[in-house]
Amino acid sequence: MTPRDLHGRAKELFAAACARTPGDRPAYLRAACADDEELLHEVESLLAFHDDDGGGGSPTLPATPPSPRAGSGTSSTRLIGRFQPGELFARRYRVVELLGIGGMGEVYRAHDEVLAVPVALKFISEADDERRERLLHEVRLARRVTHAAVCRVFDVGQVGKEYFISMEYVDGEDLSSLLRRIGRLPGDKLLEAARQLCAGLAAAHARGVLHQDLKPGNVLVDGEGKVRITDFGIATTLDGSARGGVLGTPAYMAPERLAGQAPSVQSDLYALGLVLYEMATGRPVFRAASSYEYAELHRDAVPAAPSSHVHDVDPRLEAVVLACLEKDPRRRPASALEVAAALPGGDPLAMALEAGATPSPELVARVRGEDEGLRPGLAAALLALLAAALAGVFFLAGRAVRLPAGDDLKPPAVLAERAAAVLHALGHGVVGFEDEERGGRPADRAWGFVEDFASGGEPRVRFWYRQSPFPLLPESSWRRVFDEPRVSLDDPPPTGEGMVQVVLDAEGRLMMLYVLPAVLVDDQPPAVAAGPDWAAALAAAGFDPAEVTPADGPRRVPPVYAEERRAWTGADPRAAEGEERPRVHVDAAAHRGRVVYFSAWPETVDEPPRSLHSLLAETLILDAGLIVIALAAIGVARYNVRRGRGDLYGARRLVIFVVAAKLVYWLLAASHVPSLEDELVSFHVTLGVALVEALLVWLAYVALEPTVRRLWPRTLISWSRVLRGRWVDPLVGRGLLVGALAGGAWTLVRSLDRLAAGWLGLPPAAEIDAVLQLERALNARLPVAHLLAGGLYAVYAGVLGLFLLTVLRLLGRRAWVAVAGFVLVQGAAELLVAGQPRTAWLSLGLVIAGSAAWILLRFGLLAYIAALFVEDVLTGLPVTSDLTAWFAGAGLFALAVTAALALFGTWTALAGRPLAGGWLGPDAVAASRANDRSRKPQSPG
Amino acid sequence: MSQLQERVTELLSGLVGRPAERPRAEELMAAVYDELRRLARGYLRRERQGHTLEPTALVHEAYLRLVDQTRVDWQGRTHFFAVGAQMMRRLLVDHARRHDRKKRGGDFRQVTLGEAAAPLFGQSLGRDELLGLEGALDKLAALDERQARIVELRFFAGLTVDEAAAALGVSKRTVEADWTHARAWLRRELSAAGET
Repeated sequence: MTPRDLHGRAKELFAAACARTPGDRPAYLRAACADDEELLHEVESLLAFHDDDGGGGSPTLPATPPSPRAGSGTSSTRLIGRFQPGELFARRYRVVELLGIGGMGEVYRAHDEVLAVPVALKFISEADDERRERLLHEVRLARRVTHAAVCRVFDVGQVGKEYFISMEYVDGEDLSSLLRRIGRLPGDKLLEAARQLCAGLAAAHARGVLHQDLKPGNVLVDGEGKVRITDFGIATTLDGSARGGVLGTPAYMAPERLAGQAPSVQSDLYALGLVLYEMATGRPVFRAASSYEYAELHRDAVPAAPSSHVHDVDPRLEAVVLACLEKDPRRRPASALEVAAALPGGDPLAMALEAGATPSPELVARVRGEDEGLRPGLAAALLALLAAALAGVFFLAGRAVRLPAGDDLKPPAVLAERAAAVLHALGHGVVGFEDEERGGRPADRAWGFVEDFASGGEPRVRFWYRQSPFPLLPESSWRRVFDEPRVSLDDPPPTGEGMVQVVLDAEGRLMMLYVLPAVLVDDQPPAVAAGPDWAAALAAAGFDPAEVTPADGPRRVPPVYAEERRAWTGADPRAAEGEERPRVHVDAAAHRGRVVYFSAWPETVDEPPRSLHSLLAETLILDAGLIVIALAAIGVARYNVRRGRGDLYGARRLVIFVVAAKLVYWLLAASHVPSLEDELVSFHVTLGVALVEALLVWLAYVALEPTVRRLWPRTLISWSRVLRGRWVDPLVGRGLLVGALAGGAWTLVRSLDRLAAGWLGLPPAAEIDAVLQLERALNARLPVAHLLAGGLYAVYAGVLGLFLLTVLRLLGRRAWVAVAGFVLVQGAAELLVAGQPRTAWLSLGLVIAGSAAWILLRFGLLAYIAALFVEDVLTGLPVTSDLTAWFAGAGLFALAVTAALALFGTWTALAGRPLAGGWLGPDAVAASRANDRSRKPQSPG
Repeated sequence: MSQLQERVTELLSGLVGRPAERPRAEELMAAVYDELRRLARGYLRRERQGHTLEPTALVHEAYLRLVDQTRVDWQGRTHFFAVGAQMMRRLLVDHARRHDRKKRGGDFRQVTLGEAAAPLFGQSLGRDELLGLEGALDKLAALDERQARIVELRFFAGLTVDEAAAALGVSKRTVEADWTHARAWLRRELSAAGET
């Protein structure tokens, strides 16, 4: 029998014998081998070395022989380093002890004799170029990150051929030996350590550094339980500028990394999940013997829930750990901050600030502030204060705001009829000027108010009336874009044949008349034989015929062709009876026997026209500035979008709001005519303007909002919630209530300022534009439209205010510098509007700008926007205490809107707690809060 | 790296089912050997001098580095490990035989083979034991080549019985029987060598 045959036969018999009990084997073998002693001996000797049975023979070697070499390479001999304790080297470091053998070489604890502080020194053995480069790489990346939870690396040094890095000495042990020693971390320690880990990792990520080798062995825990992330030996950068390339520890590597894909924040989070899992349960997620098995487990195996190992795991911790361990990186949390935010307790925003990381908008929206909502007592007090402020605004309205009282200003419909009657009396509107098919009515009419600065004293409110044989639509593109999209006294310009302009004073006396005759049409009215009715015109203007005397000659050239001209002076009909009335100069002109021009307005002195050069210079400077700012915004926005920093979702919501508000405003407030063509043009202009504006808003928001989110994330909490549709929210409610109160208070301060100015005999400060207020009360749609305009204004001004504060903070580097700058800039703006340095400087500038900064930083952007909105509504609509005035309704509407906003704010801020008795529907609020809490951390806001 | 990965993956998928192509097989073996040597050197350099080498980990790491796992099926995979085990064994023996002649960095004193080797060698084995194992394996190969291959796969690539069965294209029961017997045989062989 050849050795091969013998071997083969013995193998068969060996297997057969092994299948039998040890007792049966000898008999079996004797029978099987017959008389082949060689075979028998072979099988028996093999069975003696068989290791799977309990008593088959007596092996000459123990089942697991203690190899004499087995222990030689392990701990006892390993911890003899090249440096002995007490040794001094680099003339600076005295070795204290060898701490361990790391991935690259020995780590010593040493005393820095120069600075007299303990340090850890990490050596690389046998430094070749590659290893030295790696060491430098580690120092470079680790020094980018400064955070309490990241082990600080000081410098790199060289002693002979040895390279070492000096780093913070942590008096403690690494997490893996700690876990081996104590099993797992207890609940509170666990959460605190987890938060610190997240913070450290977030700080590294904020500096663009990916750790790539996070594992318990690289987490140091000191005696106080503080955690440090260490060993950036194979770290890389987010932008890939620093090469990593070396594989980490397969047991702690994300599946996509094991499959050779590029590292990402999410691959670090996977490792974080593994470490947190181990901290919570005391056991690794997967156990395997080889890298390959780890790769398979990480790729395919579903990790057992931590609670299946230990029962007291916090469910939120468990959820976020499992989210980190998702196989698909896209399904993991977006950042280490998100992980921290999902842990119970802690303050992720404070952590973000400390780590220099920018929290995501979703995180900002989700974070729970320290004092969400309001206590009922405080809410009631704020409401009472607001009520007081509104009452003040209401009762001071008559005296402080220069609105005509109800008796003094007839309703616009009455004044319009009066204007028509004047026209009728002067022979217009009988034939020719009006469209007979419309039953003698003009094709279009419009009216409004205009300010009269020329009549001396305070500016007066006058009423204007226009009629036209064809539809009136504003033509000025400037007004269409930036102003009211409504017909005014001058827009469209009165150049169409048959157009009529009439200006009356508040009581309906004629002040100005201008009729453009239909000179080019065939059926122009026949000449009136009796001649122009000058007396009727003077009577309509309210002159006492006895006090009218012909003047020397017409002063003003009528803007229309006329055959006859007249001029008079008469006693001012608006002056009070009895006194010596001032004389007013009157000009008039007539065409074909009808008065076509009449003016009892004092002559106005036009401002001298500015030189073309100064206009050009101003335009160029302004435009160039705008273009530079826009280009800068485009650059920054592009950068933010690429880095994924911009709040694109929020910006989109903002854009939708801008476009929608603009379009609805156009629907409600613009002049509309029954002409599809004109309406289409008007709509498209509006849409175009809205889109351009929205684009600018988007750019500005994407460019600057991330910086605000990094520096002052708390200002954006309630704002982000609103952008994400969470209106019914305690913090949002608090913002609205506080904002409404601030807006009311600011309005009151402005009223008091005007009163004070009056008492001191000073000219009025920044005037609230009475004409605009009155025009917003012309019909029922306009006050509603003004809410939209006010909302847009408040959002723009609020966001810009916050951006201003942020830019100042970037420039000034300190919060107080930014606030001081903000108050100065805002105060200066108030001053510019006021036009004179008076009470404005004290009350408006400092009080309003200072409180604006305080509200922004203390209560957030939403509160500031609410304040601006309320202020705009209260000052933009004619609030009056004279309830008989025809415009009183619009004023009450403004007060009602403010009150409604404040009440809604109170209701949501109380979050179900009764203000006085349970009238607020606590169940719904409690339910919504419960919903918020149960949100999964990884679900997008 | 990625080019190499591409090529190795290609070789691997091309080889499966066409074992006759010798030039391709040799190219694959050369690539694997080079990579293993590179990894071993890097690994030893990273560790303190004289640290224990873990061949199975190296083979698995080589697999991760050399093969695009998404493009290789289980046959390709087992084939890779068969080649890897062979090359690892050759690398270790080359190394052990050379150690006296060349004293330079990157040497190892201890080798920790796959888990399957633990009953025979405990935690790790030194050079002499490694060379003894090599001699025993050569002898076993002369008696039963398949058994020697199974031991190689188990020791040097850390494959399980199932994986070894797949790599060799035989049933699991056959591998189990071969493996049990080979273990006893090796133990006897090595103890005999140790006594003399």
